Amino acid sequence: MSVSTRAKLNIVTVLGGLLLLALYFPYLWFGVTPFASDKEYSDAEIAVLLEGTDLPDYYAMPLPERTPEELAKQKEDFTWCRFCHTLEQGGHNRVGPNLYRIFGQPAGVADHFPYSDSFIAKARNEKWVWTPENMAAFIADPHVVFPGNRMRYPPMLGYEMSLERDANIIEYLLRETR
Amino acid sequence: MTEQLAPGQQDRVATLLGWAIFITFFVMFFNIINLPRTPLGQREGMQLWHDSLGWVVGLLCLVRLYWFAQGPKPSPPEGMPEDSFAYSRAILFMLVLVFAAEFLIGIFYAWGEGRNVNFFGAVFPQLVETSEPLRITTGYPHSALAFYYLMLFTIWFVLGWWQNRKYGAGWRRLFPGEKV
Repeated sequence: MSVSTRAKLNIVTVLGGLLLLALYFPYLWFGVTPFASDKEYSDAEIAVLLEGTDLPDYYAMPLPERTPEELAKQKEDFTWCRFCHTLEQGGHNRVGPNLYRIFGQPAGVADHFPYSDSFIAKARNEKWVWTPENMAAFIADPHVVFPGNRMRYPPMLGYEMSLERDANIIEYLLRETR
Repeated sequence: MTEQLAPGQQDRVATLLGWAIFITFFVMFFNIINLPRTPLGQREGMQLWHDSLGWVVGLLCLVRLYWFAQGPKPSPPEGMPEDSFAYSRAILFMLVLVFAAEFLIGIFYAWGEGRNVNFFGAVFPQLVETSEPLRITTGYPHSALAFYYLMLFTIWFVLGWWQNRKYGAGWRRLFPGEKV
């Protein structure tokens, strides 16, 4: 087969260009990066980040009694969060960080999770701690609360956000991350 | 190999491999679509299918890559210039290469997250230590290459449509079979 140099160049350009575009897509679509962070937070570092805060142990507080239907609804409302976050102790970071015992923690301390610089800057400057109230503010509008952060939320077109849904998500998180 | 093939035809091995890869990948595609749409913690069964079919597609593609190098070379259908035919062959080659790469990267991704790789219930043990950097640096291209083969599918069919219109190359050649 005798293929012209021009055709060969075109093929390399088109297929190479598409490959470069494809390599950008996971970041564009899911907000993920190809590099892990080597940062691990010690208890001492977390204690420093929590200095000056006086927060209750959210996991020692009793949760409201719920009917099986209400619990099922909370689980359903949390479904989309479950695509990106693990909740159990020792669970992997996925597209988003592991959320085990998230309440009462400073923001941005999941080991090895590659937080965006803007997320870490704001978290440290404002000493942001995950209280249920802060979490509610965050998931109501994550890109206003943490400008430049990479969480893709709402997760899809047509996803209906509401205060009731957010409250269900937060209570589900409190139940499942203790 | 010097086997002489009629214009627009490919040999029996390439035809069989083409069908096998097409059918297995077609089945796997539904799994690929649904796996990320399934919440974490409910993916075990789907993951087993993903791993198992990934092995089949991956190994078939490695054989097909060998056959690209060692098998007889097809020539363009009647009336189609060599340059235009080269585009089709390059896309096909790249598709097979990407599937093979997905297979190899996928194995390291599974090991990175501390998971044994399954082949229809038979466990291929973890040979590399669980590691977050490995999981992330393999997970990213595993996802990116999936976008890439969707792009390749698209230009494969767009180019095929155009070649049919311009050279009367036919539609059958866009699917597995003897026609290329």
